[in-house]
Amino acid sequence: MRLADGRRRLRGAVMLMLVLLSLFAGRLVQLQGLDATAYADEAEASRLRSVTLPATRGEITDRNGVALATTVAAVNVTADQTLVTDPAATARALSPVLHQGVTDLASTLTGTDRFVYVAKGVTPATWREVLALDLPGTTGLPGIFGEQTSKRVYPGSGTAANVVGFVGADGSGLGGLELKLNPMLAGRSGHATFELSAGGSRIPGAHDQEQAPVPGRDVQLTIDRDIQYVAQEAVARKVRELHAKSGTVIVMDPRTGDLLAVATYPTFDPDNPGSSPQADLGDRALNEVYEPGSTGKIVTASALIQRHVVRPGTPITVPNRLTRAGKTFKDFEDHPTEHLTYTGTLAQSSNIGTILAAERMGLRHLYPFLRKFGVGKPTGLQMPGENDGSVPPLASWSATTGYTLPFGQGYSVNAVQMASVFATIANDGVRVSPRLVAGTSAGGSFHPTPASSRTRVVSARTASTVRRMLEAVLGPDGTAPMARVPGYRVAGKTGTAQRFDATCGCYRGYTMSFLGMAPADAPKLVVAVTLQDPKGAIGGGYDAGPVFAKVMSFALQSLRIPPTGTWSPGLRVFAK
Amino acid sequence: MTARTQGTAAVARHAGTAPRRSSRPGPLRPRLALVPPMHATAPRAPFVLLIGALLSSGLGLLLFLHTALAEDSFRLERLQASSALLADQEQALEQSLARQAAPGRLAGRASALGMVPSENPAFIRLSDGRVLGKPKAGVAPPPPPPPAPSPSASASPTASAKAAGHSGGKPGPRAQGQGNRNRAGQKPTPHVEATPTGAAR
Repeated sequence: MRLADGRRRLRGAVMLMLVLLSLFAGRLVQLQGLDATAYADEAEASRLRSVTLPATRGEITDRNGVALATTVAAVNVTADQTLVTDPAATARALSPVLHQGVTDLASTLTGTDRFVYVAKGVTPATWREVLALDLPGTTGLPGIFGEQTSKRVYPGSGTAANVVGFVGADGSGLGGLELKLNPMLAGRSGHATFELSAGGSRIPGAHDQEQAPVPGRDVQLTIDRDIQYVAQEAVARKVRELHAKSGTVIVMDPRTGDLLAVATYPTFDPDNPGSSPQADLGDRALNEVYEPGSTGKIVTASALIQRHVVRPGTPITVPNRLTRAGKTFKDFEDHPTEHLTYTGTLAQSSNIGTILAAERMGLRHLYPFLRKFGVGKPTGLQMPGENDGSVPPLASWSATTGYTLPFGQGYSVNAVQMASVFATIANDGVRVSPRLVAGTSAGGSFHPTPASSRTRVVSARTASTVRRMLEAVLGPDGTAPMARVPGYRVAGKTGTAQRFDATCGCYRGYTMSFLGMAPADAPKLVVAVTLQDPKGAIGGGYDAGPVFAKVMSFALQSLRIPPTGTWSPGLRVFAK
Repeated sequence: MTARTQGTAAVARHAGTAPRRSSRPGPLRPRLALVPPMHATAPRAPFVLLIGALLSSGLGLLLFLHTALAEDSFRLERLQASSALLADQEQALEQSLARQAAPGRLAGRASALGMVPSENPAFIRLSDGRVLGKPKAGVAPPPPPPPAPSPSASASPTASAKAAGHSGGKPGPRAQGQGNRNRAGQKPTPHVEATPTGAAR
């Protein structure tokens, strides 16, 4: 009986255990067999962390590798206002380190926001100082945190800002080359996924995936920082002195099309672009067009010489007034009837003389030359906001168009196009499209930009004749003795153009310019100076000439270009 | 051990049966007894010591390894921190160098020292010793430069005086003289018209 009892109890216990165990087994099957993946995923997700690995933005350097734009490590100082125990004391501690007012800081730190920015983009050194700060009674500043970030800096402090451009708050390009080359400069950010333990440390050997970021490519420009600086300073001084609207200086190597300097004023501070008006954030040398005026006579001269219509010594009788198509044309100054050579009409910049000479060729024949010199055509730089200017096509010519084009009015160009016209003559008649990017590099391998396209516009003989004629512009009877560079033969042309003002739809004010090349017998450099709407200005030679001389002189020295040691032929200006 | 004990027992049994064959009963019947195991009390101490030594040395080694690893990781942390600090310093110094080397700053400091940009570049051609260009002493700006930082203030006046002395007797640059002549003879009043009729020059 006792034995039977025990056996029953045993059997009961076994049964109970079996039931329990099968319940467990069932649950086990449910967890491990049926819902396993869902639970495993959930568990892993609670440990997994995914972070974006930002790509380093490429540098922008000048032609010698000097950084014009670079990226540095920085820290954003943030605060959790609910954790800041004593805003006033924290503000007092932070104030001298972050160079901010105590009251401003205190108001930033007071409140219930869990995340506010206290200071953006401070240097790591400053952040270390912040870390070392203590409140009385506590170590460190409660509620103050650091966020690792990077910052775009422009070491040249505004040198070539118009070319380099600027970036927005998120670090992507918003202007200039920073915008145009953004995909290349930015690279591709990577990401890492790994498992974190409860303590927050990375679990080695667990799920670990990393896609390394692809750093942005470095971009080397054709700009020479020092020449750019001198050009920028010179044009800024002149624009301020003459209260001009704006000014540009372009320095170009005519043989390669390399733009060594593209300076404009007013410009902007790339470290703080928001403080400048929108109009100053672009590149005036490419975005603004104007009527070139007398500097355009170089195209007329090239056409006339190329087509053998005139020679430098061809006499031209220039009256004080000339009536064509119902309009009376005149020169800048009143003068008695003059007996000039064709060279003389250039040296003294006679509009009437130029019209009379162009008439010998047929006015319509000028049009294809303007086009071949690149007027009204894209420069090929493809910079943001570029304006190509325009020449009225033959079909749309009015009765006077043919008479104004020879002296550079009635069509529009940007400063780089005009520099390129002079560079064509400097390069023996072959036009090399301008270039701003010398090449890009990544991981030490440099990829040069393919050489610019070359087109012959006029013969080398024509170009050399035109250059000799243009030397007379800087001669004793020319319009631009102020543009001389002592010791060098310089060929150039002044421009004092009537300026078309879009606001009134009329001609108001002037565009003063001087474009030239040196050494005149074997040009290595072209410098183009343009001043828009200077007040109280006298003429291209007087206002732009000295800027030309200063920039050209510096560029020649800087690039170690010696004088050729030859003498100017001194072509006759007055006909016998 | 067991085999040996059995073997001993077998020998004993054999020894015991021998007198029985002589069929001599009596009190002389030998007593059966187990032969005591020969080495039952082999010294245990060395073995225990060996094991103990092995265990403790293993433990010690493990401890040492852990300590070394921990120490290395501390060192790594220290070095990483100092590497980060040095990288930050390098970056700060590079930026400061870039600021100092910026052309604007250099130009400012040079002019504070009384230097002027050369406007008369000249070259000596080594092949024939000919001087290309027109070398000329620089002309100091007339007033002392407005930004005169204290360290270079003493050098500045002497330098400008010297430069001025060099060019004191000479007239201004030729281009400038002629420019002024021409400028004087020109009418500075431009004409404005609704269409470009040739006021351009």
